Amino acid sequence: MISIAAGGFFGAVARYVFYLIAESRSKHPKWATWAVNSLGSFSMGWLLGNSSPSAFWLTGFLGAFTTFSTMALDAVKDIEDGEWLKAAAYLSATLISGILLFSLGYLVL
Amino acid sequence: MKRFLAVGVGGMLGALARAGIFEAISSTAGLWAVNLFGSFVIGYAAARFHKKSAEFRLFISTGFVGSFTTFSAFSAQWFSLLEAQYMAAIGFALAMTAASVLMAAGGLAIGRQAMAK
Repeated sequence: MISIAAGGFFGAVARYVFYLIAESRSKHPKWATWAVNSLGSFSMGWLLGNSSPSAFWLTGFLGAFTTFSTMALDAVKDIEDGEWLKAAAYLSATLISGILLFSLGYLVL
Repeated sequence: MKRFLAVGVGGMLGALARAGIFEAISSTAGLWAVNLFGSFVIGYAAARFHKKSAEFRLFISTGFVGSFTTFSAFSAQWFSLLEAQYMAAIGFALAMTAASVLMAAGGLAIGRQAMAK
């Protein structure tokens, strides 16, 4: 319980740091969500494939570091702007890199 | 510093709530529950709370709901489905994504209505 709480704290803060960097350096900050979800999926695959990971990392840190809701809202904003293709590309890119990187972490490394 | 704390404490509570739901109803059903409900809340919060302080919004949206919903466990469930049933796995991924987008849109619409009153 304490390990999930601590992991959740640091995972959310780490994700926020990605947002801050993206907002200061990029014209397209929503790709920070893509980056955390990709990196988090890779780490999840690697942890599950190579060890018996702790609740701190799985449920706490990586669970909080990655996010589904922000991805969904980012897509809704694109759709409201009439950018259907952008929304579809963003969602597809996240799903595909998520599953590929998870597999890479799990199977290969 | 206050902003980091707002995100961190929100993230801590979100992770605990997610773990509690997974424990209570299984990680498969739990993933649907947290991602759909969380997507609704982030949409609602975006409309309803945009005049609140930055710390409050960070606490709710980036911290709590960001951490409550999760993508890494989604990738893990998708992967284990792919090993068993290829088409069902792709259906699962597309359905959860589409449903979350709809929930976020619904939350946004209802939040705007609440603001207009």
